[in-house]
Amino acid sequence: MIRCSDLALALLLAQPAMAEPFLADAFGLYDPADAGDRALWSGLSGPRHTAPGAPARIAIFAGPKSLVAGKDAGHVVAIILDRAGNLVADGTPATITVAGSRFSVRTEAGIAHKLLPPGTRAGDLYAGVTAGDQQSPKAMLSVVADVGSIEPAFGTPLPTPQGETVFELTSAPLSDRFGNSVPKGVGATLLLTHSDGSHSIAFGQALGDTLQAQFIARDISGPAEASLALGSHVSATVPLTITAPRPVGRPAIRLEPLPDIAALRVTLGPFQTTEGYALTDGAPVSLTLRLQDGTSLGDMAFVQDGSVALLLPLADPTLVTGVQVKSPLGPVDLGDDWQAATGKVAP
Amino acid sequence: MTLRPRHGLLAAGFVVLAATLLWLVAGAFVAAKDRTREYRYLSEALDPLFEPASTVSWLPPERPLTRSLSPTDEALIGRALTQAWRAFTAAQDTGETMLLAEHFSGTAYDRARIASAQAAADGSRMVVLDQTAHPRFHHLDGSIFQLSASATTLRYRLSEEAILQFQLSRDEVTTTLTNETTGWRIFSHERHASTPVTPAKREPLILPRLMGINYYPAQTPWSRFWPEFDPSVIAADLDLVTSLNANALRIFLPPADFADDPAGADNLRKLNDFLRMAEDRDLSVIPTLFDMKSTYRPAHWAEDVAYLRRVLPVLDASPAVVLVDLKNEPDLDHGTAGKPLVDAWLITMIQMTRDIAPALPLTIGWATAEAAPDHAPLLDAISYHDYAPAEGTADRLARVREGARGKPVLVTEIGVSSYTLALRFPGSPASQAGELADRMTALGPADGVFIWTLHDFPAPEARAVGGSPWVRNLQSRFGLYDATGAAKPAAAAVAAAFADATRPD
Repeated sequence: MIRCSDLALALLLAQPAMAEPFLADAFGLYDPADAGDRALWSGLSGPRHTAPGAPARIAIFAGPKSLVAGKDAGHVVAIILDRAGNLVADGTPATITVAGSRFSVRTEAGIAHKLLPPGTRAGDLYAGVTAGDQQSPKAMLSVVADVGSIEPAFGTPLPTPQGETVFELTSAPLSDRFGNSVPKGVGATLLLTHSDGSHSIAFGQALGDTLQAQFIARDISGPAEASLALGSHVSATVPLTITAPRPVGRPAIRLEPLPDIAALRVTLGPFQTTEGYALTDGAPVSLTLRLQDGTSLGDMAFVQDGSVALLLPLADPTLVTGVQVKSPLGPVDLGDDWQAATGKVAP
Repeated sequence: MTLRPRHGLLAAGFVVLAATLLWLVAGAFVAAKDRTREYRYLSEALDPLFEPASTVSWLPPERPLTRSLSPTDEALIGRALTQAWRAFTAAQDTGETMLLAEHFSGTAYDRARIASAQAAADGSRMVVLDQTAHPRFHHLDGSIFQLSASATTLRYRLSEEAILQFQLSRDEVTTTLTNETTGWRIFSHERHASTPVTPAKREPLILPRLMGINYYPAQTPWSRFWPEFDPSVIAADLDLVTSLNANALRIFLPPADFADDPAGADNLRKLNDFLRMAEDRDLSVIPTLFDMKSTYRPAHWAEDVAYLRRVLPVLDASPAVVLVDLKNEPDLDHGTAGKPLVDAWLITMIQMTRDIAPALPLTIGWATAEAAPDHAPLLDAISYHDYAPAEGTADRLARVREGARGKPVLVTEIGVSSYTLALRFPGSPASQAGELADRMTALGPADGVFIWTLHDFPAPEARAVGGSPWVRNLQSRFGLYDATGAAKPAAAAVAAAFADATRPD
């Protein structure tokens, strides 16, 4: 046992000569009489160096996991340990195998590694390391297409979409500068420029080797130009025409006087198209009434379940001399229909 | 007429009784407060866990890396290493190893867990105080990093009575880290070589005779000094010190005020300004480090070394600094922390101070003369505080000098309170002056004497002096100047004694 003041003097004069029953290693002090596995830890332990043993475990780290074809290098790294968990000795031979190619390397501070030059063919690569009689688990690297080199374009002539329908625009088969298909799930932007200068935009993604995006042809009928943007590349524009929806028959009118509030509830619909659909919910419909005194009365509403309902401040429906309805199916004069509906209303 | 002496006796008895009762009530109040302290949250009851400053200094890689190491990488890996080794020391200290999984993986985790458990059982500890690291390998995807480092590492083993083993060394290590979901963790750590950190032989210290004042500003003492540093107040106070014929000051540098943050950097600039103001007035300065240090737990020692690395260069650069007091009254911590642990900490900090600033002379401001011989071989000067009865002053100084191995001996705190409860009890301004003059006469052979303190402090800080109303009252009246700024009789007595002591022979 050393008293502190004596210890201080000893430190000043002859620190290395102190009697030290415990040994020092990388993780502190330990009793050599009760060392256990600690005696197997390599490196400097007390006054002695303990050398590591033969390879017994290999931890493999391959990355980056997603390599861009022609651009990104890969790196396969193995930490090779002996049975006690020590880094194996410098110069221990190891073999790194990547996609069937074998590379002989030697360890430094327990690490064996191989830098892989950028590959050009998209796909998964499997890597493994062997050292001594040990083999690592497999590690995977993926080479993906160089999306930055893909020039987006439309292929066959674009379809002529019908109004109020969902339609899909599809690119031509796309590949990068090495012939790798556009990777599945890559996002793209599809832009329609209409004749009035307005734009419609939809977001699509790659499926197979093409990019696809869907539109709803509502309120965008007429000629347009389509273009496709992938990253910083934009395709040439391609013309297309979106057909306006056409009506089937005339929407029915139902009138319901509300004498308590001197008003009239007008129900118009259903608005049916040649495609067999009713106008989709949310389509705008406006009603304009011309009255006997020369004034006009009107309102608008949005289609719900194929019809619209409007509440007008009109006590007597017989005062109406003209009826005009506008919808995405076009304008229609419903004057005769109104008169017929008026006759059905109880006085 | 014949009754008057009896009345006086009764009055004196009453005063003594009242004072005794007040003393007992104050003591009971403090004890009750200690017993019933309540916390709203568990975290408030624990030692504060602050983010430690990085203890890793980076050198350039010895050869090009596959992936370069950015400043952000350096900061993240440095912090991970710092936290890992702090957690390792804490695990040894507490025996609780579960948290190690946050900082270690692979082989290193197994080894850290085994070593921590063994250390907790056998009383040994390992503290990585700081590291100078060369990057040597970096995976291209940033998932593996390896460094070779020179790690200043302390290993010690204590019993309840003594230090059994103490090794401070520079270890050459290879550390491999993996970048995982929760950040960098140490995967492998191996030591290849080790060199003891041994202080160089020192030349004897030659000091001028220092007659000085322990200094805090009147309105901003203790923890308010550095945050509320006012150069105009300091300048006026230093002029006042000079007018007392003093040639030295003793000041205090709490680690909390010199942390690795913007406030700490600001306070370092203030310290530099203070030293320049002292130098302009030919005042020598003894800065006292680690004032109000809260814990001796070894998990915090690396942070203590980081504090030394921040503060010592400023002190080393100032001609005003003639001596550095490593710790104020560490012997008072023996009861709570244990003498072996306090001694191990002191030896470590002495060694690290020597390593960081070899030219700075060192002392320790012991609370009593009895403790003064401790660590004398490692120090440049011996210093202690003397609040013991005045009659033994000269004898205590003589005994300390005998054990000082020819080194200068300074008494860095003497003081008398002028607090009067009633009838000049327990003191008065006049008795303060007389007792200080007597003690300074008895300390004539000392190489330095410092008065506690320049000013009265109407509300002394409870953290520094405790919660007892009696003690707080006493502590509030140790100044040479009262709360209004008026000189007490002691100021003239001290000025006369300082003039005698510093007069050229």
